[in-house]
Amino acid sequence: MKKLKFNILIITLFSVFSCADLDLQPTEAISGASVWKDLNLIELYVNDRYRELPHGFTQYAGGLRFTGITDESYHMHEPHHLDKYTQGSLTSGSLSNFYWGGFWLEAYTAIRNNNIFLEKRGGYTGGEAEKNRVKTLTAEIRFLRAFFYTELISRYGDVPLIEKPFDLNSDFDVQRIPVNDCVTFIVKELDLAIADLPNKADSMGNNFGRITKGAAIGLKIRALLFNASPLFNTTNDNSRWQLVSDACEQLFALNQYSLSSDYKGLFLNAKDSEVIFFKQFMNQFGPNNPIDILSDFYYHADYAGGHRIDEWRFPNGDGGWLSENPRQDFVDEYETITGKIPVIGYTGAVNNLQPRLNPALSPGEYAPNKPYNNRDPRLDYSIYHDETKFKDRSLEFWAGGKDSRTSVDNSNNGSKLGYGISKSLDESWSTKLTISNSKQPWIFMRLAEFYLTYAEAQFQLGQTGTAVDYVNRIRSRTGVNMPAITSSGDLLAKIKHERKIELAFEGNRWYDVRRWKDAEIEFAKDIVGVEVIKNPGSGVKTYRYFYFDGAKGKRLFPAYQSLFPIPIEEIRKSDLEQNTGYD
Amino acid sequence: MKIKLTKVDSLIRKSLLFTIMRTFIFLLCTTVFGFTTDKAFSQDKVTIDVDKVVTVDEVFSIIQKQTKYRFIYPQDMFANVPNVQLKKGKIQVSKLLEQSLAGSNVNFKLSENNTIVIKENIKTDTVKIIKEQQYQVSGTITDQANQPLPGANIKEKGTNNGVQTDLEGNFRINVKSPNAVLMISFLGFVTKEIAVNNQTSITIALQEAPSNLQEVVIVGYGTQKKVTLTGAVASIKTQEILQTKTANLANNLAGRVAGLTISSRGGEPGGDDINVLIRGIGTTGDKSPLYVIDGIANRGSFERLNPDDIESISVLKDASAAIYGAQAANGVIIVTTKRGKKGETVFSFNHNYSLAQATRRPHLMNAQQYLTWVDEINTRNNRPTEFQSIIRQYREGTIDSSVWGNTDWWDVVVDEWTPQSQYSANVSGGGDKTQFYVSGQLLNQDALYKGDAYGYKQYNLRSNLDTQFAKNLKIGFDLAARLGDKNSPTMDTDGLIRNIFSQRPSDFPYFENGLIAQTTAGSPIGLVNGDSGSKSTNTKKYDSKFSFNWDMPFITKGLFVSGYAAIDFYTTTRKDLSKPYDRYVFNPTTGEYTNIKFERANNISLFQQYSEELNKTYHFKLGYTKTFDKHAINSFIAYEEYSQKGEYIFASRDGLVSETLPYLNTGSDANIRNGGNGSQKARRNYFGKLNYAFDDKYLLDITVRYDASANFPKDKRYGFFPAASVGWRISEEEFFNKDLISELKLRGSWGLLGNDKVPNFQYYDFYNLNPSSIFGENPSRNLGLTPGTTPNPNITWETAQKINVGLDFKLRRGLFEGSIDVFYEKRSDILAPRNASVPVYTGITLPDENIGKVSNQGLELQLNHRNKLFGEVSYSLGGQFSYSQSKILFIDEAASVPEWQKRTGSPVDGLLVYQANGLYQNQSEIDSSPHFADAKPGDVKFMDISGDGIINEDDKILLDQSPTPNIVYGITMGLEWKGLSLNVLFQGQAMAQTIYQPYSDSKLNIENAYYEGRWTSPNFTPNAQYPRAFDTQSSSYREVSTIWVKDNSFLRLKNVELSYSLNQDVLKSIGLDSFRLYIAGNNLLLIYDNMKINDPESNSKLGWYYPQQRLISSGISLTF
Repeated sequence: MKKLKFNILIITLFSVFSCADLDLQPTEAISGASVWKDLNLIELYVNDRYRELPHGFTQYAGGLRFTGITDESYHMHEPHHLDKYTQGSLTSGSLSNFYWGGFWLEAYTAIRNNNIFLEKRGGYTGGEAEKNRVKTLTAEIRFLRAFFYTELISRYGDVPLIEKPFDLNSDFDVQRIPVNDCVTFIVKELDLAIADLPNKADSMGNNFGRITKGAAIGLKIRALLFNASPLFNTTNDNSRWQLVSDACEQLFALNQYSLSSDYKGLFLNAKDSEVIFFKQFMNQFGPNNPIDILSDFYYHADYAGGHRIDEWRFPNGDGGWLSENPRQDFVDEYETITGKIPVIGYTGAVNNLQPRLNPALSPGEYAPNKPYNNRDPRLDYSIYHDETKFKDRSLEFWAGGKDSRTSVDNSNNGSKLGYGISKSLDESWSTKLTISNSKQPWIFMRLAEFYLTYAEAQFQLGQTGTAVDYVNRIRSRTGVNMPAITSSGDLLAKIKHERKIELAFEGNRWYDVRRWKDAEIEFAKDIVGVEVIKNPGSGVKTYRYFYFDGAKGKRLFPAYQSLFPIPIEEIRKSDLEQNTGYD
Repeated sequence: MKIKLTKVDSLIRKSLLFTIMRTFIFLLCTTVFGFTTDKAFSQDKVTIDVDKVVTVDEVFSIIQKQTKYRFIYPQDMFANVPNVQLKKGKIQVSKLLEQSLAGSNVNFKLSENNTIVIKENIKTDTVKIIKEQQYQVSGTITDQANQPLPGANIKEKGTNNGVQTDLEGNFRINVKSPNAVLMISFLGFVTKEIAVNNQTSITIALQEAPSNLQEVVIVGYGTQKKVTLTGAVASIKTQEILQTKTANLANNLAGRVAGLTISSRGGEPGGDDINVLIRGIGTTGDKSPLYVIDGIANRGSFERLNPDDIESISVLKDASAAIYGAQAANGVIIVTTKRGKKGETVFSFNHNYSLAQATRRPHLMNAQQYLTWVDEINTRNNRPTEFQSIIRQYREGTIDSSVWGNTDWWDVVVDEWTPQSQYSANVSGGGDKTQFYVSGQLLNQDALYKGDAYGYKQYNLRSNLDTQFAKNLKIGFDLAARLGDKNSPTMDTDGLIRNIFSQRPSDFPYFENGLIAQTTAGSPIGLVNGDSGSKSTNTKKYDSKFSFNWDMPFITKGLFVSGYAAIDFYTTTRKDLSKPYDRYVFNPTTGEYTNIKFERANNISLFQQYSEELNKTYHFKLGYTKTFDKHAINSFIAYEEYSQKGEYIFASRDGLVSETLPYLNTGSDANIRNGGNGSQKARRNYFGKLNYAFDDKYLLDITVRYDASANFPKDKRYGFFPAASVGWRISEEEFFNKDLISELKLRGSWGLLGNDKVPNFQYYDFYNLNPSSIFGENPSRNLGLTPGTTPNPNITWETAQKINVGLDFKLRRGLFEGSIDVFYEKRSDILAPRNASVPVYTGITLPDENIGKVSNQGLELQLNHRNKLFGEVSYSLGGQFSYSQSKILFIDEAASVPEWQKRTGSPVDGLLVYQANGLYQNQSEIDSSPHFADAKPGDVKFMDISGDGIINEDDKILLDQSPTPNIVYGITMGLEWKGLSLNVLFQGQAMAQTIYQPYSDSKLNIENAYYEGRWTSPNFTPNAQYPRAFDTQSSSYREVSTIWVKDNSFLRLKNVELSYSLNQDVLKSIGLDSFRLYIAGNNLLLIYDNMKINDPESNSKLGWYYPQQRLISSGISLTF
């Protein structure tokens, strides 16, 4: 009996025992070997490269198009990060600072992932249809790689040009390649891509949002424009402008795009006729990591689906943060409807400035007690201010009003300068929505930018007539209807000014001012703000203008800051030379 | 269960007690003392018709009337025996008799013819005993060297009669007869029994206990006698652990074990952030020790075990850990739980109730200070001041206190004392064949926030069974279950504490009508009172272990096979419900209070998560233990394997219909999220041990381990980890004079150990699936494939080579005992990514590679002293001291790092900061030295270390110390007198530094120490400790410098326990074996520290963390 019990016991014991398998497989991943044999998986790989495209609705490095470091606006929630730059004390930086160093890391990671595709795709064998699909995907990857290189040169100037993925045992030594050579590479890559990419009209349905011929030509124009502009075109080589002009004509010849008649609405509508290249979002997806849903620092999280631009930019009276405050001196640049810049400067005490009105103004053309009347309609399309009709009410920026810094609720988020950005804002957003994410697309490229680029190139090539024509096409379109400019006077300044107004807050300003080598002056201008004062009895409003932070001279932009420093870690790890000014 | 009755001198009290007890016993029908008779006798019953009180004689007549039994006994035998109370009903004759006779010492016997003869027992009369204790014996107790022993115990065997020796070692005792036996005991000596044998004067020499020869210590895969131990193994006894009443077991070890660094970084219930290190830091990689609970490696949550279940804890500090192979390099902590013992069933119960509060609460600036600070920032940043008139009104006391408050927000949100209670009970015992230990624990901790919405509850259950299954086969079956229920606010702890800091002290928490006021920064009240929802994490752990041990004397004596299978199953469910909560805004124009809860409609959201994990460990061992002549061999070879499978899912929805229906199906369709993944681990190990002792004098211990870990590729998976240690008990040598030192052992060890705590699959080329880009005219999200970490096909574990030399000693009579250890350790192949040297432009996501080298050395001292004073008071004093210092021998570094920032040659975790050189006193000081662009008088002055005339990253320096102390020490004191005992623990550390830097952005409040210590002008504050009022834009804050580095040395009164145990006489009268009452305190007092702001054990840079807790406890423990 005992013996039997004993035997049963031993048998039971050994039956539960099985050799532990040490050859485990990752549970949420696919092996490299299988990815490159399967077109579906290759497609997923390419999809994921689109995810790496930065956009302008995040606040850190990947969100490349921030306006708060230009003369457009002041970012009142991030000064501790941005002041280093705007006050001229950017140092050799660090990768861990997501504003200044982070993009270097993100761009080269994306470039490596694109290089992996270009290296591995050759191993794929399939039928004709499949091979054609791979061809298109290859063109998309070439575009994406070129996109990151264009961004890199625009920030850092000469950069290492890496075309193949490194492995752990590679020799990592590389040199910075001159911008001109990088641009040659970018253009060559894009020309290859343009040949294989579909037109916008052929890229609708489920493919809507994938890269098209137009986007690739647009990127080529941008790369060529940088190379032709004063920052990089040190020899003033006019042939570079010819290349820009040719590329613009290549784009226009596609006949796929036309200027929008809805300046305000186009930023919420990727299907608008003017839109060339964009990134889409879906508001029902929140932060990537669900654990962070309730975290306080969620506004720095990476979004896998939606973004939060409406919450960040909404008036505080509607529960928004009003993070980015357009500057009074920027608002002043919006012309009157007769085409004159109304205010050309300020005098007086720093906390009670008197505007210097443009002497060319006709009487009544601009009323200092009604400063927002009779202005370029693009002012109201782009900026909200006191009395702007917003949702179903009129905004109250006056001291004590619902949208002021002395409001009853949410006063901490009241604008410090008296303005908020309304361009690309979705007014239907509300704190009462179940979903607090937003979904409007980030528009990388639209036709107006290339009209203005073309105008600039034509001007540089001496074709002032064409230049004026293209500027006026923008000014005269439905919904804007601004008077035409002429070629008299400083035409380049007019082109630059038009670009400033037309493309405000879309991220271009930071790139343009640097490439023009105007940043030393433009980005060092003092910030002016306005406080609206409402007489409680009469309801009459007056406007007190002031230098922000109570002083002039708070902003400084040394010329060398036109290029970012290469992160210090990178300099220490390699033979790369640092940009001038950051040693 | 057995109820013991004690004789009481007074006859009246005795009879009263007996009457009560009898009635009690009748109702319970319990046996008081047993007697054996035949079956019929015990089954015959008599009927009692009505409740009544009768004499014993009447009882006999009742029985005689109703049964065939007859009684024979002397008349008047029961004259002095109390009456018996009878209850209406039927009762067995045997029961009735037993209980009626319980008060008398009689003997009875059932003879033929159903006649019961009752006789009086001889030696049971108490009066007689007293008479007999007239024989007096006197004498002297000495040790072997004829030195008198004061305070030795002399007890008459079989009685409670006892005395102690006086200061000369003399005693005098009255015993009941010249044949009595005396038992003489003394701490540190072998207890001796001496028959009096008609002597009247006796001199007795006690033998010193040879260092508690039988004391065993748990080591890797077995036990070993402490005297023959050759490794550096520290063990801690359960009594010591229980002196501390904290809810976290790791806390209870602090200051008690040499070589163990326990740093409490925070005190949140259920999430106590405690950092455990063995011998400091030996690697740049994972530093956590391996936990082994009841033989199972990696059994999680050591700190959540029921402290009452712990039998012992051992810490393997040197090569003795090598038997755990690839996981052992950071040392091993082995825990064993209690098991049943043959003999009486013992029930024990423990309860304590504690009150907790922060060891140091934040003291933030008050309203006036805060507004002054804000305006000083304005001034520094050239902005107009905002609050000058308000500040003046505060100062002058003319402020309108209905508009401007002065709120201490910490007091608004946090309770002064938070309750915590703990109950535990266990029953253990067993017969010859089967033994059991069954226990349960209930712990309830409230979180520090006002109200009791949040906290931690824990339920522990354990059952350890052993049975002799067959002649040579023992099997064991253990089950343990734990439920942990952590309920915390929706905002994470640091965020919540930050929220307190972000309140303006001039704001009010409530309106006069009691409504919660919305504040400038958002009221924190709804976040802590339960209104805003909760994050509740529910952990369930089921550990099971089935084990056997089969002795095989039929092959050869000493041979055995043993093994176990452990199946552990863990689940965690998390449910986060967040919902709108009340706070009001007052509109002075309309006089209305608006609840802004409704500002955001219907945003009740629910996040749920479930994860589970199944761990399997199988272990087989073939062992051989034999002692012959002077040789003792203890050896085994074993095989063990481990596998783990886990899964995780989550889902969430927003817009729930109602907060009373916190289920996913009540949520909106619009924002559904879900996901999940899985994980796997496995390892396979072969190992063996040979332990040899010659004459208990020359000791040798060899272990080998051959390990395979699934974390590494096939050809890098197996590693060999040998270790050897030797010992020489010098005191056992002939030549050694034991007069002063009774025990002296020299020991040394060497071994190779591994560390494989890195993410797995780093050798594998893989692509991760994740939600990715959005395409389509009707946008939809697509899956994407992201390249994984760049594979490293050569990855394997890091290796530690450890050397230890130690000396154990014990002075005569055990007055002093202690040990000294010195160690050196060298890690190589440390796993780390080459982030410092591989440029980012490569785009590579670097895997861990075996590249680092670190050395670590140090020493440990442990010393204990025990003695008795005045014969009655026994006391003990102990101390432990540990020092360790790490040094990086090789680390991946960029080639052009400045010399003074090179980590090679530096300690592992030094801080990289700017060197501050005081504060700028005036503008000319700024102009004449390199400075940041924003520098102003009163700002931190930075040293230009590189000497290039500018301050940049190159000027940072690497500090030698880190939040991990190089020195830790503890001092224990014990005092015992009669039933009173006092235990005190002091704990300290030195050579540690941490960055404490308040975050001030002109909206957040900070500790007023920074305000008090700030620079204001060169005239008034030339020696200010802190820079002038600053916000995040100031380089004083932005660039971390030594001005923010604090020395974390401290000495604290860590633990005090004062307890009182009832003496045996009283215990017997109430039927208990022991009964103890105690009060205790933990983290009572900081005797010395430099920090002065947060608790010196914290490493929170900003001070936004759940503070360490001080506990004041009281409790009882009893056994019967």
